[in-house]
Amino acid sequence: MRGKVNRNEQIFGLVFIVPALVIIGIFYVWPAIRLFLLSFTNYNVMSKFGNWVGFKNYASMFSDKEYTNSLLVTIKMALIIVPVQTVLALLFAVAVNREGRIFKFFRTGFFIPSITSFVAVAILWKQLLNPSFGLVNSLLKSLGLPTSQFLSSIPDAFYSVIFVCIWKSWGYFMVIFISGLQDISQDIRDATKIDGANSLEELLFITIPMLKRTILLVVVVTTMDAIKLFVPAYTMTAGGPIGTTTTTVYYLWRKAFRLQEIGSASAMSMILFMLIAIIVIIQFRIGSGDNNE
Amino acid sequence: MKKRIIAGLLCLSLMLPLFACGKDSGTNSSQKETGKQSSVKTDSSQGNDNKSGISIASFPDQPKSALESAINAAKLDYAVEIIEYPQNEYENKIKMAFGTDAATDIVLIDGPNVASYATTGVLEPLNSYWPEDDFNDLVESSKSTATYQDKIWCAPLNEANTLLFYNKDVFDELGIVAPTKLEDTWTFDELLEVCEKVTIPGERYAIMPQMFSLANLNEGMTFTQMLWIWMAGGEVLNEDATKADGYFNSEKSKAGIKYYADLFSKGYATTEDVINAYETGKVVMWLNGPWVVGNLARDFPDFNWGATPMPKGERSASGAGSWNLSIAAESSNKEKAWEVIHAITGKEGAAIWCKETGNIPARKSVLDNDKTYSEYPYDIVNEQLQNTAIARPVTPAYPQISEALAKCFAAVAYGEDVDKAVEEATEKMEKALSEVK
Repeated sequence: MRGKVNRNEQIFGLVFIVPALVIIGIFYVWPAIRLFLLSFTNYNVMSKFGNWVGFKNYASMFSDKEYTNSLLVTIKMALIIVPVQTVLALLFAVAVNREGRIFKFFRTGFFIPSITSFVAVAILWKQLLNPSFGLVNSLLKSLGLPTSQFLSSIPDAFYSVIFVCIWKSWGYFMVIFISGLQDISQDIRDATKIDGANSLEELLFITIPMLKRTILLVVVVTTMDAIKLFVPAYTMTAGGPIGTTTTTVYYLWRKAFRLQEIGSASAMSMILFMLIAIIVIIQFRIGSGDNNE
Repeated sequence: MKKRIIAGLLCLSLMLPLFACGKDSGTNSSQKETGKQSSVKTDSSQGNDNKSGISIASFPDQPKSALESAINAAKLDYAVEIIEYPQNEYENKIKMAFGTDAATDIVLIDGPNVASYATTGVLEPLNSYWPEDDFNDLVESSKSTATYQDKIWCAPLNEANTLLFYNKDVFDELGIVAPTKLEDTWTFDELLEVCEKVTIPGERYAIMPQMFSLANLNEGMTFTQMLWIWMAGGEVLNEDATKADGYFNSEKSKAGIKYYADLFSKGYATTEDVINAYETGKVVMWLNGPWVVGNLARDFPDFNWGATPMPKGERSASGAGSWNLSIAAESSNKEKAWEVIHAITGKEGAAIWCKETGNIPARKSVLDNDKTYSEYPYDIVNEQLQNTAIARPVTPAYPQISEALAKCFAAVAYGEDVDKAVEEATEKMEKALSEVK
């Protein structure tokens, strides 16, 4: 009797997860398998025909200087965006995690860019950074500071794109940190104060260690976002000037849809996928290793 | 138990939307849905059943009203639907439409990409529809654009050409007189002298030697940058368009690219992304097509402009090849589709289209019949089209060739070594060409 109930429960359990499985299967697993298979072909979207070319797409990929350059650009961007954005989000989370109207105002203000579409943000900043009529240059001019060709000079374009990415996203991670901060018991904070710790000591020895899991989450998500950057390269700079802001995703998008090289673009995506997977595994290892200490 | 069944059913019902995603057999549902918002029916089509009508994929830069005028004049007795896509996404959209069997009956295709579409089998050859004597009414450059491997794949909407536009106020002030005849055109050295005269360092640049600022990467850039190679006596590819090595990296081609790079290194041109640089006086000369005349009249009516023939290096060269209409191989209404194409690009249609858009006709008869095309600056365009216009190479690898070329020119403008940039581009072109052989 008991066994029968269990079987019934199992069947109902399955029924409950079927929709999720089907959706994940159709929209995530199948495209990933298809991408993997396409990476061994020279598939053409229009003729719907492709020959099996084996590992040719993978072999030729690393002699493609533009691809290796795009990987380098992506990694350099991630190396700046991840620490800067995380530190900024954490510091502001600590600063605005207080009672009071003014703090509520700041919390909302900082969060707003992250709920706006990235395309809208990129277009907005493209206008603001416009060298002839943009607000930023007019402000610099009125302060007597030198102006800049933000999006068409090297390396200004690279840093401008990074700036916009951080501006757009850090508010979101600040909110995640705030929720982490609110999980830290007030008793612990009170005890720290009684023991005579100042604010910096409290941050370094209480807040950060207790936020370790949240920090890990933020770093992992930010890394994945940074490696998958596409919108600012597409909307603000078209990958220019001369490849300075050509991220890998932007480059493989051009390969796939402008140049119709679906096969090699798929192979490049596979490499990017592996890159993200390796980085995330390393981050998790480091994170969980610390927890065991 | 009942609760569980209900919950299970509710869960399964969540999947219903998935079934709604199934393919709608027979009709081009997704294509039509996205396009409908911007689609229109022509006056001649009202009251007709659109299912037996014809659809055209287009983009906003090709004025819909002018297409409609040409179609209306032909008094067709069925509906013609013009579906517009955003310009930057146009090529992607039609490629995906071809890939999902959702293409419109007629598609607009850029001249140099004709071969790349033709080889994938998505276009219908026009030879059996188009009488030879009527095809021969096209100017030579248009004929060569429309033909690939001895078949005709498209009918040109119009021709294109290039001119060196200048700021007449600046020229008058400095006493510079620009030639208006092909035989008097400036040599490369004379152009440099003019550049030197009109440049005010840090304030005013002499020339924008390509269609847009370097922040752009599109066919308009290639269309105008390629000319510097031809004017210097070089070639992009060999005559069969199968080889770049020995052509794109020849000494003559490199001389043209070097000349272009020098315009930047000497401070005559800028890598800055300035909006309306020519119209606002930040740049004095601009290499662009005759459509600039129409744009200036509309947006900057007070701007005092002039136009001079393309400068001459080892030889004269000017751009050619514009957008064309093709029939999708999957269309079930090919005869009607051809009627519509002929309505737009035939002798009467082409005259209407060019009149309304300010473009240069691709037909000799239209050029001869309208006085406008013998008046300044169209007289220069006309002369150039007959004598110096060169069509871009016709090869299925053209998208790769174009991208490699535009990136090479951008790199040298930013100061990269010409030899290095040219070798890199040649390598990319060779790779792309070897894959279509």
